[in-house]
This record gives sequence, C-alpha cells and structure tokens, in this order.
Amino acid sequence: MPLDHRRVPGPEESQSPLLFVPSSAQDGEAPPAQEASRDPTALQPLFARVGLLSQAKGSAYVELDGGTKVLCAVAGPREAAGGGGGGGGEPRGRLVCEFRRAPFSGRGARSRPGEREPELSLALQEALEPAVRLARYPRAQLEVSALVLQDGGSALAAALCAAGLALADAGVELYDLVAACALCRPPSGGEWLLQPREAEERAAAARLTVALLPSLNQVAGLLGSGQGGAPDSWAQALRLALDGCQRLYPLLRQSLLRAAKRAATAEPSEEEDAAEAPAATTGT
Amino acid sequence: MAAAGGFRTVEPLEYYRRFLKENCRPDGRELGEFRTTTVNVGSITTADGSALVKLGNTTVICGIKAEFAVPPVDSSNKGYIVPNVDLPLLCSSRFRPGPPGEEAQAASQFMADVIENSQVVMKEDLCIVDGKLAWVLYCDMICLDYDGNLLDACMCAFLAALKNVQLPAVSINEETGLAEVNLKEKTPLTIRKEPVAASFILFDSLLIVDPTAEEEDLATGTVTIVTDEEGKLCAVHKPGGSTLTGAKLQDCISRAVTRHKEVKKLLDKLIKSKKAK
Amino acid sequence: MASVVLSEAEKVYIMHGVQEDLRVDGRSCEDYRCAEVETDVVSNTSGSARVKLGHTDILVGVKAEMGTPKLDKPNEGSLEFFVDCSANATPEFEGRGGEELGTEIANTLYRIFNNESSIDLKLLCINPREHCWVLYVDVLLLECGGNLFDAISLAVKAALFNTRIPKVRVLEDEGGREIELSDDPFDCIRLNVDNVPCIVTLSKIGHRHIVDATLQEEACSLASLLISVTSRGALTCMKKMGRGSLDPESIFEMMETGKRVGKLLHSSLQTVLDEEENLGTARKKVGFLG
Repeated sequence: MPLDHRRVPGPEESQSPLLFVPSSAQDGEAPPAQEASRDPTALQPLFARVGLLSQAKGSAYVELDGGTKVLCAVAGPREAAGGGGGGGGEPRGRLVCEFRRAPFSGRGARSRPGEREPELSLALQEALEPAVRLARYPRAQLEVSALVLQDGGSALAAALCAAGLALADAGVELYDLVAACALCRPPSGGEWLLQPREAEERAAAARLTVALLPSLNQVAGLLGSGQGGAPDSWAQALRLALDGCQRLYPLLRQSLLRAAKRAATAEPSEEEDAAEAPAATTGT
Repeated sequence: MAAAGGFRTVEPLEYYRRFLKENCRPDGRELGEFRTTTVNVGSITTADGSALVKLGNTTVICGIKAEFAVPPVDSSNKGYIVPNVDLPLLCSSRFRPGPPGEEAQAASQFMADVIENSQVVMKEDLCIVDGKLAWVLYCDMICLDYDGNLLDACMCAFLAALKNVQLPAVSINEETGLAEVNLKEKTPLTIRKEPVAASFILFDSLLIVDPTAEEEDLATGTVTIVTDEEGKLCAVHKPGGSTLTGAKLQDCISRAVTRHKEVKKLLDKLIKSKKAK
Repeated sequence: MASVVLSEAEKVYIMHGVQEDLRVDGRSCEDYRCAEVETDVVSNTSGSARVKLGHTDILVGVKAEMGTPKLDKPNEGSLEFFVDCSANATPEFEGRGGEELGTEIANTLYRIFNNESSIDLKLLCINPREHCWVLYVDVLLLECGGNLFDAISLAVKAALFNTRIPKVRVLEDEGGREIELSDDPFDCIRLNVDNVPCIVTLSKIGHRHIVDATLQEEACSLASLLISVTSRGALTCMKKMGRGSLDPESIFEMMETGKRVGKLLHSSLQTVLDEEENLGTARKKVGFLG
C-alpha cells in the first residue's frame, strides 16, 4: 500500500482472515439447496426513507432485505465548476455523481478508504441524466453522492433508487423517478434471478443492472457483463428487470409521500418556534 | 418569523448573544446540556464490529474490520489499531470531494492519539504469533451528517463498535505454517479503558457544551476533554483559540466526568440488551 | 470525447437520411467503414496491432512480463489495460483532458475480459502462487474519428492474436525454483483468441439505430448501446451510454442487430489475421508510411 501521508499509517500489507478459512469448513457452510428453492422473480423487501440528513438538500436511504444499505445525498444547484463550461454550446446543467463504498461494506478485505469507483459513478450519472430536466439549471451543477454502507447484493440498483428519491426530495425537476433492479445468472446456466443477494452475486456468471423511468417506460441505464449467452437470454433478463422495476415504483412513491406528509405535519410546530424567537428578541 | 430568520443571517453573533442572555441556545437547550444521544450497534454485518451514533443531528457510523498483518519490526509482539475519520461529500456542503481535508485529518490524528495514550485495547492482546502474525483493527468512522461536535460522536461510535467486535479464533497449522481461521468460534475484545469525549466551545468568556455546526462557526475557541471510567483524564485537546482560565478548565473536566457517566450508562444498557437477545 | 459542433439543419439532414437507411457517406445503417488492420507494427513488444477505421486510428501494444498471481486466483495470470488518449487525436486531450475517457475505456475493457471464457488465463501461469505472466495491454488513441470502442476492441483482439510469449521452464533445485527462458526465439506460446469478444456500438438516431457512427452522427445521437459479441454470437457485456434514454423495444432490436453485425466483424477480422499469419515473414509491412 503506498504511504498516504494524510491518513494514520497502518501496516504495509494486510490480508483478510476469510482467505485463511480451511476449505473443509467452507464446503459445510455453502447451502446449494438455496438456489433451487428461490423464486427467480421475487423482489427483496425494500425499505426506503427520504429526508433523513439535515445538512443535505435532499437525501434518501434504501435498505434491501439482503443487507444492502445505501445512503444518497444531493447538493445544489451550485455554480458549475470550470466557469461557463467552454463558452457556447448548450447552456445545460451538469450532473456530477459519486459512488463510494465504505471500507467495511464488503464481505472480504477492507477496501482503501479513498478509493472511488469511476465506472459505477459514470453509470450512476448516465442513468440519472435522462431523468433530470437539466435544461432548467443552466450553468449550474447538481452533485449526487451515493455511499454504500453494506453490500448485500444489488448495490448499484439500490444506489440508483436512492439517488432518484434524493433528487426528488431536493426539489430538483425530474421527468420521472428512477427505479432500478439487478439480476444475475448462476454459472450452471438456467434462469436469471432478480435482485440477487451477495452470495448469489459473487458466484454468478453474468450480472445485469437496469434503471427504468417507470411511467415513461424508458430505460435510463443499463450495465451488464458476463457469460450471458445468446441475445435471447439477455432479452429475457431485460424483460424480467422491467417488470421488477414497475413493481418497485409504487414503493418508492409511497416513501416520498410519507416524507412529504412528515414535513407538512412538522411545519406548523416549526412556525410556532419561529414565532417565539422574535418575541424573545423584541422583548429584550 | 421572517424577521428572525433575516436577523440570524445578517447578524449571527448578535442573534446568538440574545439567546445567551436568557441562558439558553437557539435550539432550546441549556448551556450545559448535551443533545439526545442514540446508539445502535451491530447493524453492519459485513464488518466485524459496527456502531451508529446520533448526537442530535450529527450522525457518525463506525465500522471495524479485523485483518491479518505482520507485526512491526520494532515491536514484534504488538498488533495495530488504525483509526480513520472520513468526512464525505454527503455529510455537509462545506466538504469537497477528494483526499481527506484538514478537519478529517485532524480528527483521525486525535483518535489515534487517544487510542495510543489511553490504551483502550492493549496492542499486545492483538498479537497472535510473536513476530509473524497479528491482528490489525481498521476502524473507519464515516460522518453521515455533520452538525457540529464531530469528535464526541466519533469517540462514542468507536467505543461502541469496539465493544461489539467479535474476533474469530485463529490457530497455526503445524504442517503448512499458514494460519487457520475458525469463523464459528468468536471472542470479544478485552477493553481496558473506556474513553469518552466531551467538547466545549468558548464564546464571549462563556463555556458552552456540545456545539452545533452554527455555534462552532461563531465560537472563538474549542476544548475537548477525554476521560475514562475512573474519572481520570485521558486527553485534553485545545487547538488554539481564545484563552481559558484554570478554573474554567476544572469546570470542563468535571462536566466531562458527568458526561462519561451518562454515556457509560447508555452503552451498558445497550450491550446488556444485545446480550439478552 | 472529441466532439464536433453541428447546426440544427445538419442534424435534421443526418436524421432524415438515417430514417431512409442512407447515411451521409452512402452507407446503410448496418455497414462498417473500410477498416485496415495490421499486426506486428512495433518490434519491441510481445504483440502489437494497428487499426484504422475511417478516421479513427488506434495502436495497441502488448508486453508480457513476469509477476505474482493475485491472492484469490493463484493459478492464473492477468491482463492489465491502460488507455492513453494522445493529444494528437484532438486538442481536448491535452494534458489530463483525456484521462476521463481513458479510464472509461479501460474499465470497459476490464469488464469485457473479466469472465473466464474470453481468454484462458491458466495458460499464463508458471508456478502457482509464485510466478505468472502479466500481459500489459497499452492502447494509444492516435486519431479520433468516431466509434472508438469498436476500433479498440478490434485492435486488442488482433494484438492478442499476434502476441508471442516466450516459453519458460521451471527447474527444481534444492535451493529453490529457477526459471529458465528457452533459447529459441521462435519457441513461444500463442494465445487462443477465438472467444475474445468484439465491441459493437449501436447509436440511436431518431427511430433507427446505426452501427459505426462517425463523429457527426455521434453528435446527433442521444443514446447508444454498447455490446460485446463473441464470434459465436454470445453477448458478454451490455452498457448504455449517453444522455438520453432508450425504449425497451429498441434495445431488443439493437441486440439482434449487434449479434448479426458482430458475427460478420469477427469472420472478416479472422480472415485478415489468418492471411497475415500465412504470409509470415514474406509479408510487406506497411506501418505508418502507407
């Protein structure tokens, strides 16, 4: 590990204890029966909460049943970095996205704390751009940052859902919310599984993440890799993902409504507090 | 309503002073009152120990991962504890993306100093085989929401996460010389000392406890006192700022000791309820 | 990415043409430009290739070096990609301007080669856990004329086909293991590139999609789909790029087109590579002067 003078120094190299688990113990643990009994189109129960960070303009937290916990915050619109952005061209806003994992989020070794994931950040940006009305924010930039606290499978999909909710919470003009699903295909061939858990994702031969704008039925983002086989197999996976995203959409909308209701019931009491303050200032 | 908001933006100092005259603060607290503290342990299952602490709005999550490493050459019977405080973009608009800024570095160094001086966990306890294998505890504290008083929250999260850590049993295989890990047998760490931090700000010769981000901006100086469970002093952190008399410092220390009792009660209740499950 | 500024009238012209299956340079929607592929252009690499696809010019060099295998894959070698966007291609790439594009392309290449079937990495292993071959694939963008990903994947496949890794023997000694390089310079391992995929980028313009877009056509398209196809027609990677969104029906159509076009691409590339191989040393090298 190169010496990073900005952080407290640790040992040069370290290995995760999981590499040293004897193989006999590992075989006993892996339950192969789990694959057969799982319904491939089952969505994991999803918990979404909007508006929990006080310092961010808009924020959302999404938790999946498999343990994936993702927090997303939106800041802006701010003045775009780099001035007017190359003179002429389109005066569109910019979306700057960042996707990070906490060092303790992975099952294996600890990842370096400063490591960014440029590929997934770019995937996040490309999936969110069709949803945001950037033309309404000329020469401004919106900063979206997603942090994965625990990766229990389908992390990018959860981050996309959270980012869509956070943008809505921040009051950014959107064409539609973003609903995203992940799929994976086990190495033994066979069907695609929707919203895989961490163990299924790790052992998968092919993975796919799809982001959809549900009411417009437009695919906003698509990222997949692996030995998927013929285009028919990928097409089937895409159809499964679209169906899953449509099913997720009502859950996301409900969490936004709940947050709006909370904010509405909190406002009358805030008005009372603010009314007391001028009484204190004018009284003295 | 609107007048108060405007006054707050234009003359923040005067606005604050009006409250202090009435012996209270804009959020309704007394000068010596801490915000509501909530702690939640064990929520991150991929980490060996984790804790989430909310001090009012300030939220810090601490995750501890244990890995193997070769002990340092000059002290072959010691392991490592590596703290790291991260202030990402999402916790507040004042932090920019990129390598850790001053505040994050200062906080990491503070945590490292307290761990080293107070001997929270004896590094000798982390050694498995002298000179060959030792545990490294990477303690990553990520601030999710920054509303002042980062150090207290980090310290509390760190302590709670340490109490939650379960290390798997390790044995050395005689034939291959490699380590063998048994994930089914887990033991908690022996924690020798329990440091708890209490931060104060100095404003107009007044001592104010547990500042919010706004109050920190208005303050002329800060002090952080770290005490352990016997009421002894572990660390005093006063990075410049306005001066402090001896008597005021004594006040701070006694307030810090009371705070320690409050936090200890909270953590003990939490650990007991977790064990009972 | 290098871009051209187009007026609205030009964009409408291109779009209308594409609706009628007639592009600006006379091609149909599924035609590639004329491509020139040449291997073994750089002499001090283990393998190299140069691809000129219209105005896009890519040079790939592969160097084989000895390294240690990764901890979780002790029996395999590895591939490391690095993409350099040279300032020759477009002034936007001066200094660190091309870094973002370079990392994007490198990450896509990693993604494509990440699965086991693309290339057999077990061939690159010398001593499990201790020694293996690491192939450093360096891509140099000399000129940017649209459709970078396709050209780069063709060049990488050709360069890997051309790579010659020297054979080594492991001598078991009492003190340890020694590695001996064989004396014969022609005694080497060749890689099997039958399953190496090629990238096909389909750009959506209006209601139709086109293959091998030029810079002008890329400026008109809001969204494109990048797929990587093997010679048997299996897809190994799918990625949506661009600012716009895609209709699910168009994605299905694009996948079918991509598979068709990809198979043709593979067969033509393979014929060219086999021809070069057969000529052997009698081949006239054109290099950069032709």
